[in-house]
Formats: sequence, C-alpha cells, structure tokens
Amino acid sequence: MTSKNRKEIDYLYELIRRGDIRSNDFLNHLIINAKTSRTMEDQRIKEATAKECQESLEDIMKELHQLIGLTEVKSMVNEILAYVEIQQKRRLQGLNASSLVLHMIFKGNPGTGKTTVARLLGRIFKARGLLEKGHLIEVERADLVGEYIGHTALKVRQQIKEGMGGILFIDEAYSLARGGEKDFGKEAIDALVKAMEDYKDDFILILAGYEEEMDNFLKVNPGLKSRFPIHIDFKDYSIEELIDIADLMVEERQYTVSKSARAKLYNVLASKRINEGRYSGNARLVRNLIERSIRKQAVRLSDKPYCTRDDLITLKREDFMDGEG
Amino acid sequence: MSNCILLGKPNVGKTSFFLNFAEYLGMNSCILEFTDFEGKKSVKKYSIKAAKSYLISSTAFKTKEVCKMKLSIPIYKGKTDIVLLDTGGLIDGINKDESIRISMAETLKHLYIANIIIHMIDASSIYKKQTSTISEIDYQINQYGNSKGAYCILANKIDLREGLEGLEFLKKEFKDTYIIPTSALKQIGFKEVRKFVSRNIE
Repeated sequence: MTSKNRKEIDYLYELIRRGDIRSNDFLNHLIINAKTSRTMEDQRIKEATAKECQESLEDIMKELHQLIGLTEVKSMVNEILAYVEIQQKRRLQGLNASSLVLHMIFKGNPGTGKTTVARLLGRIFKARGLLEKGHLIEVERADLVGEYIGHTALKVRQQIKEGMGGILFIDEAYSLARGGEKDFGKEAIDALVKAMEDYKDDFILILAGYEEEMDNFLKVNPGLKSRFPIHIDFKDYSIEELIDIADLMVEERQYTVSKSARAKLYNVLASKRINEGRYSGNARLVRNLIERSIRKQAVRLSDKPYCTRDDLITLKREDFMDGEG
Repeated sequence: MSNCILLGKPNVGKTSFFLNFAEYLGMNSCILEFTDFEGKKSVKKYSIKAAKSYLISSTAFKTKEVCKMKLSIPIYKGKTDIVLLDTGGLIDGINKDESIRISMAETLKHLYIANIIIHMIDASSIYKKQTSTISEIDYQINQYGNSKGAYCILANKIDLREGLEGLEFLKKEFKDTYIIPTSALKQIGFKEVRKFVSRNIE
C-alpha cells in the first residue's frame, strides 16, 4: 500500500466513524482505486495491441493524407483501394474477379517517402482485410543473396517467411542484378518470382529504388515487370513542400523556427538541390538538418544561466548549418 | 502471508462459517485476535465450541470487531498459513450507532489490504426483506472483488428451502463470479471453499 493510499484510507475511515459518508461511498472509492490501478496496468498492454488491431481505415487514410505532397501517390492509393473493393464486391456477386495481385514497384529518390508510404499501405491493407498482419519487413541485397550455392534460396525463403501476412520491402532492388552473370543475385530474383506466384495472397512484395536504375532493372528482367501491376512514382518534393515538411517536423518536436532561420533553411535546401541533384536527400535531409539544429540549439542554450520558454522552443538562424556536414 | 477476508451483510452467517470452517480444517481451538473499535488489540484463546457460543448469535451486528485467525490450508503437498478475517456486517448508508459505523470502517479498511475476498450472501433471504437481503453494497463488493481478482461469492444458508431459489437468482445476477453454495451450519461446500482459497494463495 502506498503512503498516499494509506492516508486516503485513514481519512475515509475517520469520515465513516463520524458518520459523514455512507459505507457505500467508502467502497466506491475502493472500487475506483482498484480499477484505476488495474487499468493503468492494462492500458499499457492494450495500447500496444489495440494500436495494431483496431485501427480503422479512416484513421490510416487520414494519416496518409496528412503527408505533405505526394499527390500522385495518394490518388494511386485511392485507386488501389477502389480496385480492391470492387474486385471484392464482384467476387461476392459471383462475377469473374481478377485475383488481387498487389505487388508494387516504387520509384523515386531517397527521402521521397517510399518506406513511409509502404508502411502505411501495410496498415491500410490490414484494415481492409487483405493482409493478416500488415507489418513491413525491409530487406536489402545482403539479406537475400547468399554466399555459396544453395544459400540464396534459403535466405530468400527465410525473408519471405518473415514477410508473410505483411509487406516485403526490398530497397535498391536493382542491386540484386548488379553482380553480373555469376552472381547469386539472379538466383535471388528467381526465388522471389517463384514465391510471388506461390504466395500471392499472403504477402506483398515491393521493390523500391531510384527511377532510372529501376527502369533498367526491369528492362533487363522482362519477366519481372509484368508481375508488378502497380508502379508508383515518387516525385522529388518541391522546396516549398520541404519547408512544409520541416514545419511539421519542428511542430511534432515542439519547437518553432524563427523567420530568418526558415530563410536560411530554404537557401540550404535550394543549393543542395542544385549541387547534389537526386542525392540531395529530400525529406531525409530536412530531418537531418532539423535534428542537427536542435542539437546546436541545445549547445547554444547550455551556456545560458536562465532559459525562457521561448528560448527553449525557438530554433534560430545560427542553429542551422550551411550543409549537412 | 495471504489475507483472506470474509465479508457481507449482517447476519448472513459470516462468523458461523468462520468458526465451522476452522473446525473443518482441523482446528479445535482458535486463537482470536480482536481489534476493537478503539484500535486496541487483544488476543484470546477459545475452544471452537466456546467461541461458537460466545460469538454467534441470530441478531444482526453481533460481530463488531474484526477477528483474525491463522489457518493452515493444504496446498499441493504441503500446508500454507493464511490469515482468515471475520468482519462485522456491512450495510448501506450511515448508521446512527457509532460502534457499528466503526465496525464497518474497520471492515472496509481490511478489505483494502486483503488478497482473497470471500463475499457471503444469504441465499435464503433474497426474496425477503431483511437486513441480510442483498442490496447496493453487495453489488459494490462484487464490483470491487471482480476488479481485484481473487474473489468468490458464498451463497450461504443453502440448506434452507428458500436457499436454492436464491442461488439461482445469484447465479443470474452475478454471472461473472464464481459462486459456491454453502451452508455454514451444515458444513456444505467447505471443500470448494478450501480449494478456492488454496488456489488463490500468493
């Protein structure tokens, strides 16, 4: 018994003795006490599970639509959902419904939201009942390609098994075809293709990477392209969109950006775009810049003897670096 | 040590059960620890028989002090000691008698510490209007017990004709609760109670 509770109980005891409250009130208090201590325990467990279990489609769609930019991607997702719904309805009416193959190809530069969207799609499909678990397994070449003969198929099978009921997301998928004729990457592709056919209802395969490389990759492996009915292009964010993203990130972390700092951020983003092109990093660059500035702000403030609330939440111009380095 | 509390409305047979149950578990004398309403503790040793004649009566609010008794309960192959608490009856509202108010406050305080809650209801008086008829406070105890876990209802006085009828009512009314039909007087259902207690010892 905690001392706080002990005090409460003693107090209630006294009230009862003096006849100020009914016995029922005392008991009610105990009930509430027991319940709150219980619910607090349960809540932690529940929150974890409920978040995964009882997500409504609307909530996830809302989350998707809150993402900045990505208009094409959003309309594509709507299209897919409509398609899925109609195919399900057709099946219910006994009409010929093409089986739902939802393997996808995501093309776009780093930091354009491919993984974020994939993760959301997993949850959307789960809410729609298309996937059992809706989780996302992110793999790369090293996870799929083995070191000796026969090793590759084993590794691929292992990853597919983990991805069952969810999405298997292969980033920089073209790296599978990189190694030339004798590379085991080809074997990995073959194993993947076979698994896609065998378990087409049980998991979704998403291949992701730079647009150009992906196009080449698909050209070299013509059998692949036809097996991925959905292609989504992730365009680079405009600088304005990146600033919006920055605002959102800053807000999430309970900071604000001063006006001149925002102007500097704009400059940094623009010059990066010109100098580094597609490797500039898009939203990821924004995140890195902001996280760095938050650290710089902390250093700047640590010398100050007294910080106001404003000091604590404002990121100033000098907190932002000229570049990433 | 597990604290097992016996509570319910006045005159449902808590003390009879308390003493008969002790006898059933092979005690022939009991060391009772009374805490009276001034908070003083006194320890008295009685033979069960003497205790019965001294403590049990057919008038309500006979027990005003919380009585403690150490019992050994067989658990698996060994035995474990528990403390069984017999308490004064609980009723709704504010009683005009201070000693009854204190007795109830004591009971509730002990309820808070208890690990195992045995809630006794007089099954024979469900359809009568007596002090022992179930009322708001029983539902509250039920709510509290269910949220605590180790909780059961004893539908007492099952040996009486009206008892069986009352048991059916209780089963309907407290669907989520384990209900043991008992008769404190005739030692019916004691085995189930013993099992229930040993299952819930911490």
